Amino acid sequence: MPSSSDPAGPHPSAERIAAYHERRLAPGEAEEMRAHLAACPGCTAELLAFAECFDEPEDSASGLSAAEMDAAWRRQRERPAPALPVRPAPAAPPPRRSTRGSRGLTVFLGLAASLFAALSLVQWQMISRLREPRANPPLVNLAPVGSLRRGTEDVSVLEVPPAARRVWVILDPVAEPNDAAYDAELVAPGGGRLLLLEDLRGSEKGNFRLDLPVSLLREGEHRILLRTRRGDGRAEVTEFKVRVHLSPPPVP
Amino acid sequence: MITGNEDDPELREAVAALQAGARSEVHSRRVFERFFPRVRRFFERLGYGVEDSEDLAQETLSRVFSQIGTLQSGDSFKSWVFAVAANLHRNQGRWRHREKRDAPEVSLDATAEDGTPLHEPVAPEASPAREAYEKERREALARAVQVLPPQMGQVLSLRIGQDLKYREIAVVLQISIETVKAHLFQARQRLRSELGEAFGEWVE
Repeated sequence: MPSSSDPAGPHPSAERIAAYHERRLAPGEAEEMRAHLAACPGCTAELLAFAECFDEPEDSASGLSAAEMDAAWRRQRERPAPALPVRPAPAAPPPRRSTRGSRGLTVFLGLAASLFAALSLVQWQMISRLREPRANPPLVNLAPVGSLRRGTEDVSVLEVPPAARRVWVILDPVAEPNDAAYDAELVAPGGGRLLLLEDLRGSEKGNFRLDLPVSLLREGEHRILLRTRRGDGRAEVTEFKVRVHLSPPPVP
Repeated sequence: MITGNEDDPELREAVAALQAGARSEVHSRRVFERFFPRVRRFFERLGYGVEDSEDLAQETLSRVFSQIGTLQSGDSFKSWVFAVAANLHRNQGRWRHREKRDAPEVSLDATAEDGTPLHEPVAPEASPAREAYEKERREALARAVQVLPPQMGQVLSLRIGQDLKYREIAVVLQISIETVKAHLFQARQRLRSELGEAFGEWVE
């Protein structure tokens, strides 16, 4: 990888290289990217590796047998939570013996003062943050279809403001709390499964809170099917409906 | 909507479930099976050995699983996985450079007890005269590229400077292979007339 002092100029981020490859850059930006790539073997190699390995159809990209895939998956599961350095960092160089005592002391005091100031700033920011009310995502409580009294609207409306990234949907199956495992299936307006959440457990009150990304939702009426298997082996399905209204993003 | 998986509803569903916080083995494995082979090949393509590529691919997938909640609406999942892998590669590069700086220096003049040199230059056949000739030729070519139309210059740089195939140049510059060939043909003509026959042959 070339250094940032290369004649090719500063390197674009990997996200930007991907955006270029997917033709999501403006024409002027794409032209700048071409000029950089022509002069930068490192970024060009990343782009070509991306195009070659991520664009291919799945069948030709795999090259792994089922047994190899099983073994790789087992190793993946055994892997500890991600640590930032993949390899151990090289040992730090031995500390230099200072030949200028007074200057070293001045530098030390300066660093200590900077550290103290930085810690104070962080502490102040944390206190300020704790004082701020924490906004929950937009939320809607749903009762099963047909459980409300006649004459009331069965379908709740979930208003999603433009800035929201997640929503909470609370399902109240109107059943006694139990320890059974549930599956929740989210069905798009007009049909088609959007999401299947497996092995859900109810709260102490028997409710379920689904934390859903807004990117998943469509405009219109969604169905949510909550399934469980009762003690006698029979499946039990409870249906919920919610009408999603996505606010358009503000016009700049 | 998360893009890049529109043609694969199972993958789209798995990504959405993981984004929603579900820790389902079914969904995680689905994402793993789709991307592990690709990411592993990505690292192999960048010059890592088989074991390192597998290790880096698994590290990439670990980060994907742990950071999937940060995926922005409208992002392409495929591009995001690539970015995670590429950033890991860039960090590896920095690590390697740091390791190189920290390595002890050795003298090419050091000899064993019997007088045989301990270290040989990497390219013993490279002579100062040859290097000077190559340097002069590169500089002359760089000057010539600057007076070519931008796209033709870029094609030439990728062909000569980075030794890419026609197909690869087409991918990088997002043009057709025919356009690549046409640019190289014209560049060859111009270089022959401006720099002499030897430079035109360089573009073959």
